[in-house]
Amino acid sequence: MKNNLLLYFALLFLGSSALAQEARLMGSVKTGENLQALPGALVLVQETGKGTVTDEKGFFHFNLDTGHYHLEISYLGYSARTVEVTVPASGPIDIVLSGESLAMDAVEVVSTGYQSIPKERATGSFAHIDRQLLNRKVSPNILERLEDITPGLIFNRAGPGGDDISIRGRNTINAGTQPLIVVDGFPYDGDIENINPNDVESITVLKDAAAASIWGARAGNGVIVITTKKSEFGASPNLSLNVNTTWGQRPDPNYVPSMSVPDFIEMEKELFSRGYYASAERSRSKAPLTPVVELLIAARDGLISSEEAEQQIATLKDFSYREDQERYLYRESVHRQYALSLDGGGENQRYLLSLGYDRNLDNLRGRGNDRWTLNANHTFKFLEDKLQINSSAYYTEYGRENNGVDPSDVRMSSSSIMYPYARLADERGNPLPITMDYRNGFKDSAEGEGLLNWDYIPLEEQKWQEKTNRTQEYRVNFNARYSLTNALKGTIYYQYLHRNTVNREFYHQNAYYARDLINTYTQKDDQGNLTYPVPMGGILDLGDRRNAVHMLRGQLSYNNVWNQMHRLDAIGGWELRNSTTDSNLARYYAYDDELATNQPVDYKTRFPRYYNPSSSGLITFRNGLSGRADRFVSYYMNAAYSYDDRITLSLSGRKDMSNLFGVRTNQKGVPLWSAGAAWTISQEGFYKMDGLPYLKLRATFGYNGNIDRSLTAYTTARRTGTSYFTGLPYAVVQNPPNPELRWERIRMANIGLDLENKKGSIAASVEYFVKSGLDLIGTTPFAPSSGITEFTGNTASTRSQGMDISLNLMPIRTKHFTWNLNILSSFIKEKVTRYEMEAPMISYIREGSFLTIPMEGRPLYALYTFEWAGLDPDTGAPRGYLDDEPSTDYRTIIGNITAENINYSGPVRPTAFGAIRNTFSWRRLALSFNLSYRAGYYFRRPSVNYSDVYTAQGTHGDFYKRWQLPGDEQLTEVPSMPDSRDAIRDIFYNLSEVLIERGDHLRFQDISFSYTLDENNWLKAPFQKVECYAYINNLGVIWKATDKVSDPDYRSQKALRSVSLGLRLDF
Amino acid sequence: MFVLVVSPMFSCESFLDERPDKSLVVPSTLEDFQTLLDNEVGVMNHGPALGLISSDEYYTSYQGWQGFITAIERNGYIWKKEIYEGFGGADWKVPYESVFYSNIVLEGLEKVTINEENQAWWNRLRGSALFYRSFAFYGLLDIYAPVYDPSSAATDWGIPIRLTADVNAPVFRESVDNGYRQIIEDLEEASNLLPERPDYLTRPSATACDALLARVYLVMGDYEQALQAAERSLGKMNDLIDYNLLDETAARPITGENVEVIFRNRMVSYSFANSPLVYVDPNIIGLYHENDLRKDIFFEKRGEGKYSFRGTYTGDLGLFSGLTTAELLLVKAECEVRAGKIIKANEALNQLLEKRYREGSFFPLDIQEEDDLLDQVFAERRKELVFRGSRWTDLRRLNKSGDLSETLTRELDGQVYTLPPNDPRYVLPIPPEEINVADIPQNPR
Repeated sequence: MKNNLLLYFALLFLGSSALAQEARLMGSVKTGENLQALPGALVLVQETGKGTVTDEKGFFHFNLDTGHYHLEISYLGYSARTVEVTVPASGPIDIVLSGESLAMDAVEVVSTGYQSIPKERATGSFAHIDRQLLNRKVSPNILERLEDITPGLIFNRAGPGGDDISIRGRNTINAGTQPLIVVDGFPYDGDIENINPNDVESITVLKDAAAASIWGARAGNGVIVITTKKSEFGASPNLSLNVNTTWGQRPDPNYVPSMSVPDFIEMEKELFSRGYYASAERSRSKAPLTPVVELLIAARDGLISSEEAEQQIATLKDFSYREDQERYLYRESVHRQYALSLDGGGENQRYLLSLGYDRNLDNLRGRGNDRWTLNANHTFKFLEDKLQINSSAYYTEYGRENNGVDPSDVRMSSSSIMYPYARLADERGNPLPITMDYRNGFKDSAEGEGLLNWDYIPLEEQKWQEKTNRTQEYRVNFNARYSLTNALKGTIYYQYLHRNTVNREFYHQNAYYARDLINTYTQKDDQGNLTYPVPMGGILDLGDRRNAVHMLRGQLSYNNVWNQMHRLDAIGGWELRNSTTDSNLARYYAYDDELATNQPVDYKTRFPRYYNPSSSGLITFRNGLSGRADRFVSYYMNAAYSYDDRITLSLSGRKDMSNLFGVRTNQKGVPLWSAGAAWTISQEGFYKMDGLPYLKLRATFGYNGNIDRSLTAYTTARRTGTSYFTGLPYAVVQNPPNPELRWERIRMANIGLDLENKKGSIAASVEYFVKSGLDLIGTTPFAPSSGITEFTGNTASTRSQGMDISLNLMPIRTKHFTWNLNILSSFIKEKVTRYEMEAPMISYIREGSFLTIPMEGRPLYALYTFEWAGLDPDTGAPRGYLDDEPSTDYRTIIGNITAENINYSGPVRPTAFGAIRNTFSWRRLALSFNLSYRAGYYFRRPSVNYSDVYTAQGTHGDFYKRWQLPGDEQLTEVPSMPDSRDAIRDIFYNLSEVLIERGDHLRFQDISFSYTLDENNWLKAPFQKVECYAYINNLGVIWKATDKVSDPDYRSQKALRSVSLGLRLDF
Repeated sequence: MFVLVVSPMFSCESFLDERPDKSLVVPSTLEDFQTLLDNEVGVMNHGPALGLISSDEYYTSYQGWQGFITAIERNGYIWKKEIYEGFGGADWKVPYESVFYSNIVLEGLEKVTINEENQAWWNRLRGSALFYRSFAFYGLLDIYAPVYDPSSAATDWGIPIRLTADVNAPVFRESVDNGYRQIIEDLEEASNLLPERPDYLTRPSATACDALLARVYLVMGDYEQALQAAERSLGKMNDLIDYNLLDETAARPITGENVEVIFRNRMVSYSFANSPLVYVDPNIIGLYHENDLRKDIFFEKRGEGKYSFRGTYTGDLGLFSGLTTAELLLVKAECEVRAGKIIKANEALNQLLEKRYREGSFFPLDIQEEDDLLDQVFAERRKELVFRGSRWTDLRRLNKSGDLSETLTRELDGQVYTLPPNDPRYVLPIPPEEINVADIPQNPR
């Protein structure tokens, strides 16, 4: 097969290879003590003037007539070398460059996903994270490892979900918020958990227009380019194993203080005496009542004596649901990771095989996941290296089980929290039922009537349900590169990705969910006979989702150097992407897992509910299908011209056409483009600052794009259902026609300065950027007479500016001891500059911090509050301002708020953030710790809400700090308890300025420690290298601006500490 | 080889035409249009409730009034000059949404190739869209424009008459006269396209076109045309429910699917309709004869002299504002009186009342005096069309024509509010979200 292929290509290119009288000269350029490949080095044949540049692996080759030649190899920062060679050579030649006065550890090569560029010649803003830095942190998720080591990148802990990572702030209002993830040159839309971090070689984060605009309409949120490991040609086989275990803390249910159990019970008694439970007691749907209330009712009705009731209530006071959660529902998490890889290569080929297995036991009992990854990568070179074929396959199987009882899902009813004295088990650990959904007496009598037992026993549930989710994904990659001439190469890339996710939720008949559903629809006739519209047996929900992505790309690249001064690197290509997703969901009733049988049910008849025969419902129908298709056709180009290693000019452009955009955009849309320039001032003749031998200035400008997949250009309607009255299907107009729909544009200007001192002990990079979000998808009010009241289109805009500073210092460097200090610091100021839709003022105050309700002139996520005028000294009531006077007329205060006078309390997301990392190494030991900080943002802390107290929901622990007597207003800002429920007073207090805290803090993020043994100090070992490492994450907050909460970024659950131990072996 | 790769190998057009989401439909087939027009759930078959809110068919206590959820209900009840307090206006919004849907269908139909097979369906869809649009315009004119006055209709501000689905088309108020002309023109075309009787009560029919024309001509004071339209409609459908056959003990004695309904339409919902503190005006209760079954069917006794309304023809919680055969008999009766045809007018009334009175207790009317007979027709309209919104229409047109001169009064917490005949407040204000965005003149109040 291999020979046939060779023959085929040989025939195909017969002309070019047979006619030449020349032979091939190939080699590589390496650098430093550890012989690292040096990409981008200039290799010049002095005799012919021919030149070339080493590729990303440091390789170069020429076709030369037989004879003697002198090769001059040069690279900025290294002493140039001239070597003599004879053609034909006996084999590849290796040339080692040694450092000049300027000490550089390694040449950073940044990857845009389309090409690799030495950082020295880059004009844009790239952040490159190498394998060593990525491996500093131990985690199953590769993206998590970027936190606090990547300038300008932050993990959001405030704002709505689904918006985890921001690169230089948020650039959109309604469209996609996540950076584009690129894996080995192709966009990756899957779950990042499917990528094993052990397979990753490096990550480049593309932050500005010049860096990212090659990704066009999908680059608006920045791009994260992940490059997986490859082997090298001629490398000897290497087997390595990495094993580690991470133990994590148990969650603390008492993290947020709350009203104590005895006080909760006292409150229930008080409410009972006020008749609060009277309506629930009469409730037709048998609303559940807590054990205390049931005892009080029993005593009132004379079923037990009041002494007996008191006695029993007293015993309940000792129970704590929170302690039981900690004991029975949570556990310490354990994550184990194993990774094995084999790589090597010959003259014409290289290979890599890796296998990974992860097993994670979550801190919630019954929840966990496992992951298998298999990676195979192979590269062949043919035809004297003119043709290079790379093929790879990546397979992942990811499984989750989710059978735990999550306390946040357990409520007594939809309107009542679980009572704080609920018991999960008795003294001996036997599981106990807790009151849920209906009154206990009703449940007992139903069982007496022949229905299934209706008890909810949390600790038994795990036995009766199987909730699993399995994803299988494979990615097959193929590319072939052919060198048409020394300078011009053509490459075809193809990738196919297939992902299948099966979500299976099986409830055994004994599971509460199944019993509850069966009982709810059980019908009893006049003779007392029972029938079961939801048949006896288990319930199975089965969801299946399939995603297939084809990507094809053809690319030409041109790299050439003239007269040793002019250098051109250019690529251009065409790309096609077709992604289809289909999913289906089905529910099976009376499912028998042994026989895989099920039974039909009547979905169309409304059945009276057993617990409330005056109400009726349809049996839950959960079958559905959906399908999506995303198609793109794109053209792209990128060109960089360098003059004498002093000046680099870059130009990049991309045009995307998609089935989401309208015809007008696809046909006439302007490509997204960027341009940049870099000037290495230190290379200029006039530059005389010896102390600062490297100084570079960069500037870029351009556009990136972003897409809102929920919109299309056409009038669309959606079949929503069937009319109850006519039984006819009907449709709703989803959006009016919008032929002008186009991608959002992010315009960005970036200026950067890079410098390095003579000893290499100081290296710094400072960047300033201004971003404008243009044509953002926003909502505009429309005259209702047009048929719509709001229109969603390209109508909004934002503007932000900021800085990223990164500073690498090496205060001490001796033979055995080095101290590295890395400081990252980012600043960002964002605001919405145009948004036409105005919401009611109370919505901004209530929800501006966690829903997307943009207001012009403010950050997208902002805190708005009521001004605070202190507590009323006579009553302890919270006060605001009305006509500049303290007032408790909350209704009028709220009613008087306008867009002009609304009280803005600050941004919700950090406007300054960064990290300080110290790394010490002494002989074979290395120690590194990272401090991170966040600043310039605010949050609203929780406090007491008396409406919750008066509706028997308990409340925050601030209850104990409340105003009780005149004079208390000097000591506390927590309002007094009103005599009865006063909802608007609670709303006022909870949304007032007094609960706003500064989020600024400094955190001891993590510490990592490693000890390495290699051949040099352990000669007899069977290994080349052994590394033992330890890592501790979340060590705690060192300093914070607020004294009201213990951690400004983890307000509902503490940042759980984890400890990892691991071993890396290289054979 | 690379030339091949780098240049697109096939047409992008068809590749990029794929729908991004399967459940999204770009409406283009007759079936798509049918499902849009069948959206009786929240868009089509809905009309304003402001007329009922402002008319004298119910009253409430101060406490009940405070309990009305929207400012529109509270302020509409006491005829305030400004009723919205910044927000709201389903009475305006929903009918215009149905206009929008109708226009999407009308424009979409133009792109469908007609053949023998689909001609009938195509006709029915075009007729339906024209009808729905006309019904919406009629309802809007009734609330937001002055009553039709032949002497000033050509210059009175009417409503925006949207005849395109383009949401960017400019918004302006047409004259009242142009508004009604458009409705008449569209209904005449629609009645030739639609089947005689509806297959579903939510779908338009030729009968419904004539029935709506009868209403429109009546409002315009063109009694001759109104009579002709009513007779055409009754010629196609004239079934009546015999109230003796209804079960007055049932929670809702009248079902939605009944023989009198020509076209089903409901009012946008408001909290007042289901408030336990809202009672039927005692004057109305007093109009019913003791043998009139409607008193027991329509109303539920809620205490001494207190009744609440339950007789809606929707069969559910919504208030009915559609077209019925009974209404057409009343239109016919009124027009016959006005044409001096006393006998025919009495006949029309008797035809209806016979089905409303307890069996064997009904003595046919025989009123000879024209004025008395007209008053009887007005009283019968109040009794039959109670809580349908038509009382507001009648107050507007009959106060204007001089047939009535009624001043409405409300009392809340000791304060008395009045609405004299022909007051500018008989034209309700256009919601602020329209005025603010579209820059059209507001109604003077």
